[in-house]
Amino acid sequence: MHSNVIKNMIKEAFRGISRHPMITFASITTVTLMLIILGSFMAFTFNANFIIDKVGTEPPIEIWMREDVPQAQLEDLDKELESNPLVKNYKLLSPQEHYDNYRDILGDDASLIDSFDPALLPYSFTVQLNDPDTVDAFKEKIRTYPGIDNIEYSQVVIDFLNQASKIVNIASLISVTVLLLVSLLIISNMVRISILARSEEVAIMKYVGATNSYIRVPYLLEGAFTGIIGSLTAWVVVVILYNRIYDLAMGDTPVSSALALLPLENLTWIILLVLFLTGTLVGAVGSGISVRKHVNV
Amino acid sequence: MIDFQNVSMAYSNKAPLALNDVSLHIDQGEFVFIIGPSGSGKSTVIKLLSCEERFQEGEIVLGDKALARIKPRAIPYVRRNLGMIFQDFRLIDSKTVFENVAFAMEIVGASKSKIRRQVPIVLSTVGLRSKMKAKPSELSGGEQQRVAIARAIVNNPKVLLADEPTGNLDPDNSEQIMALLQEINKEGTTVVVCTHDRDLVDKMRQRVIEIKDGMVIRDELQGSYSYCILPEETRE
Repeated sequence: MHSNVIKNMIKEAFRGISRHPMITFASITTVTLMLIILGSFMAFTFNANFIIDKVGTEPPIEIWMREDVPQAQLEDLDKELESNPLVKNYKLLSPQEHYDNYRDILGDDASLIDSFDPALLPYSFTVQLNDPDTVDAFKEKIRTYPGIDNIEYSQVVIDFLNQASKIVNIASLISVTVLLLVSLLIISNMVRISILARSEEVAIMKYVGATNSYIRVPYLLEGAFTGIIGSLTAWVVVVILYNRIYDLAMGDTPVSSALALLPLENLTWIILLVLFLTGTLVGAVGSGISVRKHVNV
Repeated sequence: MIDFQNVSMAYSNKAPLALNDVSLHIDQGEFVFIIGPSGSGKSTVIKLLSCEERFQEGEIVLGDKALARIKPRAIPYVRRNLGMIFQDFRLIDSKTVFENVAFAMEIVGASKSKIRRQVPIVLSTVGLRSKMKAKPSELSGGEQQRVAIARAIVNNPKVLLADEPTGNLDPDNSEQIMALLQEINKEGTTVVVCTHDRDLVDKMRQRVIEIKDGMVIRDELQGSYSYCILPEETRE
């Protein structure tokens, strides 16, 4: 295609945007609103998965040792946990530490166990795994070590978190799909109005020998530009909102907490990329639907 | 240049034939009036040449292009060899006179410098160089039609098709427009004019093709709007 023709197409696309400011404004506003919702869903999904992943590794697997476990067996298991790749971290709790914990839990009633001998309590390992799905494999491996009385872990909690994660992902996917379809419909209608408003001009273009692409491409670009402006606006709004929510929600919560939100810098570029691509694509495809239907040589 | 070979065309399956087995030939550089009552099929001739409508039977050859099986994507390139003028001018109100003419050059990919050079020349030809910055709404009907002619000829088409070009104009403006078309014709452009304007046809004395009920009923060199009533002895 001739470079002058390409320049004209781009020029016509910008003319189209500026020629019908109200239509363009309505179009950009709609795309922006849609993409704000999409961006918010993304932020929510990322955070939900982030927290689920963290919390999912948190339900500790408690390995209770026999009360009479020899020191050597304790050390063997300690070495195994240290070298096991499935293990994120672990902690050995001595009988005395268990005793102290109970006292803390009992609070004012701690005197009730004053006469209890801490040495009667067992040793235990509290283990966190990198991936909650590896619980069974881990359990099988550890079970072979002598000196273990019982391995406890909260399968119910892990199952719930995995299920919740799946539901959040599916809900996000459905919501985003619906929002995309709505955006497509709205852009398509906006461009249709734009084409009909310029129908006389389009007819003249055909008479003087304009090709289909010469007439169609400016509308596609117009849709894409609308999408891009909408996506950038939405991104700015989402970033400002997220910053505000982060400040409010985090308060005194330490960043290392299982319930801590993702820092903005972990989200901002991926949200920008997704919103930009979605906006551009929705704009171009949305206008393409109308252009294909209403502009024919 | 233009060759209709047994062309038949109907606007729909149930509609009567708009053109019925029409054959005609127009040479390069000719000036031809196509006349006939409303609904006779004369505008259909223009619509078929510009590929706005398709015909069902026969063949139309325009230059070196056979139009019967032409692909939709080739149609714009056929139109670039045609200049078209309409009764209602069809100018873009939001563009200036210069922009309306330049528009036709932009579409074919002409450079800015060529457009800046060529458009004023063409506007001079139609006598509107001084009104380059005016909007169509600021011009008279005759001036608007001259802008339309400038747009039609700016890409140097081989054929100029005019559908009732004087239909909205007063007699003086009509004459000026016809004089302009004649000037363009003298430069070698084939000019085909569909018209109702009896006075102009009679005054111009160019080839006249009369269509009635979709059929060519008269094809006369230096003809007039009505049948020429010749003296008895001349007819023999």
